[in-house]
Amino acid sequence: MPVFSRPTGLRRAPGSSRPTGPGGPAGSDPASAAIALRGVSKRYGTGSGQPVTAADNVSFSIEPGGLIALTGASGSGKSTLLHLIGALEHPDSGTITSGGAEVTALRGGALAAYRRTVGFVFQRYNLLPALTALDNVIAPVLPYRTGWDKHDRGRRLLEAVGLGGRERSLPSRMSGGEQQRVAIARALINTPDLLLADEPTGNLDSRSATAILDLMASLRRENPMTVIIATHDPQIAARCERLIRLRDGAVIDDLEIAGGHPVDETIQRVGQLG
Amino acid sequence: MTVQIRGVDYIAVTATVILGVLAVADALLISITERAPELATIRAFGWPEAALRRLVITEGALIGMAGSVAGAVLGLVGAAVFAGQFAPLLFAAACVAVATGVLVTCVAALLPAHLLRRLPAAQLLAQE
Repeated sequence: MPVFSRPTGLRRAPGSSRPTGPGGPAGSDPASAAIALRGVSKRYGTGSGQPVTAADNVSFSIEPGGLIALTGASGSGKSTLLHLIGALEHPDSGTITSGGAEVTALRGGALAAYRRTVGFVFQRYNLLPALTALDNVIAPVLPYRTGWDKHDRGRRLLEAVGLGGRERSLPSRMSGGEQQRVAIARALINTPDLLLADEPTGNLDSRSATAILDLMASLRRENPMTVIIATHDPQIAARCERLIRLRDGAVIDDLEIAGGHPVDETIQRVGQLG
Repeated sequence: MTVQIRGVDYIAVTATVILGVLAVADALLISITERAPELATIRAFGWPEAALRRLVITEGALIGMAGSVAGAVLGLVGAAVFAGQFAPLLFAAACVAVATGVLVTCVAALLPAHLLRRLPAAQLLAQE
């Protein structure tokens, strides 16, 4: 059933769900999904006694190659979901599968191997301050032997993000937009199947933010991968194919953003969702 | 020149080694705490725990190497100044001291390296 009439460009995503029971419906076949969450919950102690629910019985599936926006107010659980999907922490309950493999069951070397299939982009870039741009880009593969030249691939990625010739620059000598470009290049060094971006433009001015979004869209066309962006910015969400809205850790809406509608209108409608 | 080793020297050496282990472990713990968000980022890249441990132990070994070499050189110079001559045996002792220093700092780095596993990566990345 459409949430909005067709002209707005938003409708319920096929196979999407609001949790309706324990675990909730999980959408499409988890074995074929890039990522499938089933009944995922995570709570944190706050020290004041009352635990905070960061993920509340979350279930959804994402098809390979999807461009998904996780939206919601600050504290709604967007970052927690990204961390859970990226296996940076384990859920209290529920399962996360990637290509049919249960991520939540991975430990040790298998866990590290899974993380290498995931690229992370953070709001504050998280570059290593003592390393040059090129060394930051190749940092994820430093402990490994690769079948390709790390420095050559690092240079090509820096060129792809518009930073050719800045290989030897330190992060402290780069603007926020440039640092985020380095972070994106770093996230792509392993040719990830999944790119997780946590408020990637949150610290950038609107011009740099647009440039970063254009860059991510262009890189996604060249390297097909699933992209999940946590954002509270309607302009970013409106450029995605699907919008998963969170409140207090729970999915409250899962909408497909149909193409072919005026961007401003879509941004306005996404913004009205809150 | 003869080199005499007294009982009190053994006690002094033992105390120095223990203090050295504690000092290096403390320095590395502080370093890890300060760089915890960076280490969490590196873990998010998919570095295995063994590679992260090697990073900390290598850092400890380099600290140990720098400190041991500096200490050995100062010791040799001091001994030569106070004794008025240089005994070849002291050079051999200095080499042993450097090797022991590196070994001791590597052992001292094991504790902070082990504690790396407890880094709350997700929270650190959220705070970064």
